[in-house]
Amino acid sequence: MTSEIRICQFLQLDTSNNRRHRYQNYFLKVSKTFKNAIYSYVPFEVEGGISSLNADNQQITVRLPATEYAVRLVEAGDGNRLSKLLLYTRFITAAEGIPDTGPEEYYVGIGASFSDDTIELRFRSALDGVVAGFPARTLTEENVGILPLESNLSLR
Amino acid sequence: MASAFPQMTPSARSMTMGDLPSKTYRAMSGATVRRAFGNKKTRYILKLQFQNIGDGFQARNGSGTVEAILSHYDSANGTFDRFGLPGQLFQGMGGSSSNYFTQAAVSWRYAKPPEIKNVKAGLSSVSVELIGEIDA
Repeated sequence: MTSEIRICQFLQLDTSNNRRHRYQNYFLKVSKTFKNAIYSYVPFEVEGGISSLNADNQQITVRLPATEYAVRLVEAGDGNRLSKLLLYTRFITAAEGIPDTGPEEYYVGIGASFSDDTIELRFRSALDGVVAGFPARTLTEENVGILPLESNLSLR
Repeated sequence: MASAFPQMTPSARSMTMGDLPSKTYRAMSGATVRRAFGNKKTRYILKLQFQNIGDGFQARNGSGTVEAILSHYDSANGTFDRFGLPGQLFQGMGGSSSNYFTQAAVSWRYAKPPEIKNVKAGLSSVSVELIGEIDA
């Protein structure tokens, strides 16, 4: 028994300079129309994205070769901080048809890292886990007075 | 892009067709699921043998020289730059078959440096391995 699957990921990245970038990673060297927009080919891969019961913040990494456009992409997004990612995953048919429905995930950029031949854009899911003490409290001069510069704080 | 490979007729040729980039998941039951990562074939391999060719002169008509191969390897920056393939490399093979290689949408490069075996004074045998891959 054999079954064949063909998965294409469509990536829509809104960088912090208000530019929208659309890429797909299956159809080599061609642009594809998907949801009334054109996605050009870029050899990226996506890793991560583990779901858990307590709705933790998911982290994913989009890996690109360290080419000129990838460097520009990082620079345009101010180091991939505060960029918005919409990632579509689609199961391509044998006749190379692209279905309209399938997983759609939203992420926000948290940074990027460079290596000698790759660039990794890191993202987290936009929805954070709801934890005790939500919204998170911070120590400020208003609620605890003047904070010492070098000492340990003991809150009771 | 470097200049095309020298116009030489190989003494022997071995070719391997490209394949779709894919992974196979094989369950303990033996069932397999294959995932394709692209829609074009890649990693074509072309192995060429040039037996008893002159180091700096053509021992036979169209046999080429060792110097021509080394000079081309040098100008192609070793395995780094891509180049075209002349039809003469496929001499003796039907066009309908060789077209699968010459017209494949891949870029050809040296897979590894040419290997030279000296046979006798002025004559050598050269092995060349080329690889055709898709450029991003």
